[in-house]
Amino acid sequence: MMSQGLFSGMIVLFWLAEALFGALVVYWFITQGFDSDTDTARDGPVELEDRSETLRSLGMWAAFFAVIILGIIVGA
Amino acid sequence: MVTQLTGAGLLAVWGVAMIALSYYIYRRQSVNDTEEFITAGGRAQVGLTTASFAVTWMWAGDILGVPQYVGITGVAGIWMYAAPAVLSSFVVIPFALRMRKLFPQGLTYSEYFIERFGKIAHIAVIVVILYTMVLGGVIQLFVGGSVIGGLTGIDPNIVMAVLMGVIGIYILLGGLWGSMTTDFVQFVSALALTLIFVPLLLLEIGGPGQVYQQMVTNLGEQSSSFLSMANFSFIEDLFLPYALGLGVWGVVSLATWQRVFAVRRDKTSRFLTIGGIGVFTTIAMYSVIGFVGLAAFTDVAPGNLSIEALGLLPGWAAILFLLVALMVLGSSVDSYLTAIASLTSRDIYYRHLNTDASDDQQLRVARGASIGFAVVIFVATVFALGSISFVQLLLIGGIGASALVGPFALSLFWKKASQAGFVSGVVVSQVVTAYLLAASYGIVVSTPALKLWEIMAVGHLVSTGLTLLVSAASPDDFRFESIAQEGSEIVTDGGVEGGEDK
Repeated sequence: MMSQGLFSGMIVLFWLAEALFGALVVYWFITQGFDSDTDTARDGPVELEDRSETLRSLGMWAAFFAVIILGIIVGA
Repeated sequence: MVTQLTGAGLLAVWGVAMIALSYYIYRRQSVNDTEEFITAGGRAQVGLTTASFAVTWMWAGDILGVPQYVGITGVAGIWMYAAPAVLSSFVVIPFALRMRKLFPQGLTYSEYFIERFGKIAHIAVIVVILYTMVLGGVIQLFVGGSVIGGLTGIDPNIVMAVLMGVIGIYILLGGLWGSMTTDFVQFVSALALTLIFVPLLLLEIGGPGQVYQQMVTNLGEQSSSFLSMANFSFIEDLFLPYALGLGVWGVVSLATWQRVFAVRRDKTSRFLTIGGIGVFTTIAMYSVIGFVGLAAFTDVAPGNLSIEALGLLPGWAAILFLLVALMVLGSSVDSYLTAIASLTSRDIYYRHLNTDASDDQQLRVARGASIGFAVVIFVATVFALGSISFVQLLLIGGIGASALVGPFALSLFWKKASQAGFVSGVVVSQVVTAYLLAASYGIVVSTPALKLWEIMAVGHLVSTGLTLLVSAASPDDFRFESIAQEGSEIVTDGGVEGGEDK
């Protein structure tokens, strides 16, 4: 059974994560706009993402699932 | 409770704002051809696409569903509900990368099947996707009618008619651009309102500490299990059916694929990762509604926890909640409606009914379908509202995914996967799971009565196993390079030059 401190901390963590997620997406939109017409005209063709980009995404997933499992263990 | 007048005013403001926004983007992005309407030209930036993807996955049903899970199993309900939705974004990544390699600029992912196998497999896929997408729309509208109608006192049928009318019009105007742009506004609004609304709800009880103490008092002996993340008591009822159904639903959802094809090719896995993980945080926030309900009431059924907890709020806060519901509902329904319009135009009309159709003709069909299927979803929801439960609707949607995911994966990565194997896997799986579903609810037949997750598992096993077996017996020898679109060198917008879709 989780303690009161852990319960309160969990809710605060959810709030912060939600705020961070929203801020990141809004930041991307503000800095990038609707489409990539300008970028591609300047930088050339858009290739499929490279291996490092995919590995970075998979690393984020691994970290995320690790946090979930840790949360289940700590909050048991 | 919000008055009928206030509720009608909110609906009107939301409707005018969404249509005006879609008209703006229609003019700005020149949505005058099929590619712009269906894929946003394949050059949408990662911020816009991530917001659209995430808010499409924030279902209106979550507002009722997450507190219900918390009411049944406590804090463990958070991950039992959220993990399947998040898992969906993870599972789709290898499919997305493979498809964008083979199809640099696809229009609908279902068109891949006609290139990979032929018309029979394509028709089988169309049927599954079509009913899955229509059901997705019905599920959202079902909740919208119930919740918004319930909070405002307006007849749910009128609420649903207004919602579908507005969404149909703004999709008719802007297609995927309209959907993604309104999604972005809906995303920001829903998140901002949630970030304000949840702390307000907590303060009504006295803060997180007070909520914890009252939960312990109200739950008594049950508090140790309800306040444990490792409470696995309901894993078979709550987690497994959704993991096996909704957990792979993203692979089947045409709305997901539209965003995969819309985003820049070099940002494919990033938007799926950030969008998926972000959805978890939103779902987690809705769990607070359930905690407050458990702290405030001792004898409320889990299904009613959400409405009862929201009843604690003052009227103005209920308006905030209503706005959140409108935003998450609109974003999901518009995505499914855009997907259906695309499917009708490209997969049904262009691929089967009029293969010589001009771009203008395809665009007209897509726009007509956005209105036509808005009516279909509305009528289906009116029917469903009086005869089917919310959970039944969710389950039927998940069954479509169980038929397609395995065969789809085999078709992408195994050259011996054949049309006979694919079609038999999909069709037999759908028939078997439909029978098992009917039996589990005692409709016409009553045996064998399997649990929901077992039905899902059987669906996956039959579809994947049959595709494997039949393909092994009658193998194809497919050359994947043969389906690369004609003249598929990548042009500046991430699309292809001279492909057949031009």
